[in-house]
Amino acid sequence: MTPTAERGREQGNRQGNRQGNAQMGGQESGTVAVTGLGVVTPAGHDERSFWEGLCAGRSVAGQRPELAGMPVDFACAVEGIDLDAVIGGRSVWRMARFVKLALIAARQAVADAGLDPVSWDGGRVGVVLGVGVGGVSVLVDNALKLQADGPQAVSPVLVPMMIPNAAAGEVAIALKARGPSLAPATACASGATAIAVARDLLTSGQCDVVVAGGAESVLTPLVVTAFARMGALSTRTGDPGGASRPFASDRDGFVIGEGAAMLVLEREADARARGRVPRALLAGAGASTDAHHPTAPAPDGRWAQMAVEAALRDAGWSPYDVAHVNAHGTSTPLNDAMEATLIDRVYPHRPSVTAPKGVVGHTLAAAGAIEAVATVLTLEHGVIPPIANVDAPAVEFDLDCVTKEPRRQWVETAVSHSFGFGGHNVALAFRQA
Amino acid sequence: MSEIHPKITEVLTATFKVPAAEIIPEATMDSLEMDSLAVAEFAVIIKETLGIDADSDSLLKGATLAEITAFLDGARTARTARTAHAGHAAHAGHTLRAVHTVHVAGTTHAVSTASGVSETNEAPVGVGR
Repeated sequence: MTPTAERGREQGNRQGNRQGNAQMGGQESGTVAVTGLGVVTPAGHDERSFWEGLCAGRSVAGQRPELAGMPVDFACAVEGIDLDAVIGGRSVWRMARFVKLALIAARQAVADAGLDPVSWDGGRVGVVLGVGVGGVSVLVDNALKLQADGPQAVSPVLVPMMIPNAAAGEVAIALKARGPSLAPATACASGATAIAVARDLLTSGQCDVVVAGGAESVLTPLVVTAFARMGALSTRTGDPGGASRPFASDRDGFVIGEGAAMLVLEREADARARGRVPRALLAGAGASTDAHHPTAPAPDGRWAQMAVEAALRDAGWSPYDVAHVNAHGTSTPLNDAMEATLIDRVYPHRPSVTAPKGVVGHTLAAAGAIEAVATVLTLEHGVIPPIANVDAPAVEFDLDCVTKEPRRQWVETAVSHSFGFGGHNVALAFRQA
Repeated sequence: MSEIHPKITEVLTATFKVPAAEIIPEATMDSLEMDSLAVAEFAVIIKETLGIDADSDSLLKGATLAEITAFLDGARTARTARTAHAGHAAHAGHTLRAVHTVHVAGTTHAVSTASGVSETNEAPVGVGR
């Protein structure tokens, strides 16, 4: 992600390109199209089931046998799918779970875009796949083996399995994508960062197609307990399904989840030239850093606001142009308070707000990408999924939260927020194609 | 050799997704599309489940499944014999330094030197978990 200042300069360049192309009567080279979507989430393993699950507005959190005895023993897991069978072939043995989720989502997205990795020019295809942690369960398993049985018990594939960029690498192998590949790690903003980086790769001309998104799978006793020990997780062990409640007055933490989402991005002109109607346009992206605290957001959201404003500027929008906000909305006391303040301040016209983490939990690095998919689907369907477990937002939040039922609303423009440990802030501005 | 060690078949099909039809005595790791990392992981699993060391760099890469089966059977038999001996030796206060041979690809190798496959004397006996 380029810093905001640099992005401002890039924006100037893009506008210059746009003007030049407009004069020539061509497509805007700076406009990036979303042409394919892929999702593997706790609410559904493909676009249709994910959207249905999201619109149902019910949390899919449940107790996990592998977390039995831990202080927090519930999560949102991807279930009911044989990942190995879906992937097929002989390479799954070397893939950690987050890699499998990413690969399935990437294949879905490429197929949805009507692209064929067998025939495309792989040198012009990039992969940007945000991962926050990586294959920690592989690391833990091997640490235990080393301790119990010595060096000979350590897997020779431990390193290639656990590194966060393993997902980008395996997706590139599967898709024969030989352009730039990256694995941005901005914690819970990683998926959104990946999409923003993909946009840069396209507008700078480095790639013609970028498969971008995020993946995460760390539902292990160690990691879940670590999040619990730091006070990030909801402790509603007696009511897992009611635990994730973004913007509710009685929220007490997030519910950890796993999943992956990938988008195929192309320059709009290229997509249309090959006869593809974009599913949406990525009109702008912005990023900033709190430089405040490793885990706590700056309370007033001042620096997160900088990311949102950068995205709006990049898109050429005023805040009043934004019809809908797909919020980061984690259900933690601190994030939601900060974000509600930010939304109220940046968008005084009270655009509708939803927060998918109420249903699918917080999928960490995948979240920004999953929510980007949700935002695109809202633009397409004219439907905003409700926030789970919330009858009304906390009285101190002056937000137009969509609750209880999906809301039909013609949405031309929407912004998706993502924030991550480390102080990373990313905003993505989407509009109808 | 007409049969393949059941553990080999199980590991190749369940972990490495090798189609069962390809698992024939004449097959090699190369012919089964097992690259060097896969072969090394295979050796770790064999060690973990059967307690038998197998040097992935040499023998497993070039040997047929029939030859690997012969080695595993031989190593297990030798280990069983050594276990009994070790109990006796330990009782006598001696250090066991058993030397044995395996027949691989028509050539007899000393275990701890030229052979691609070895069973270390230090390996815990009966570590299959």
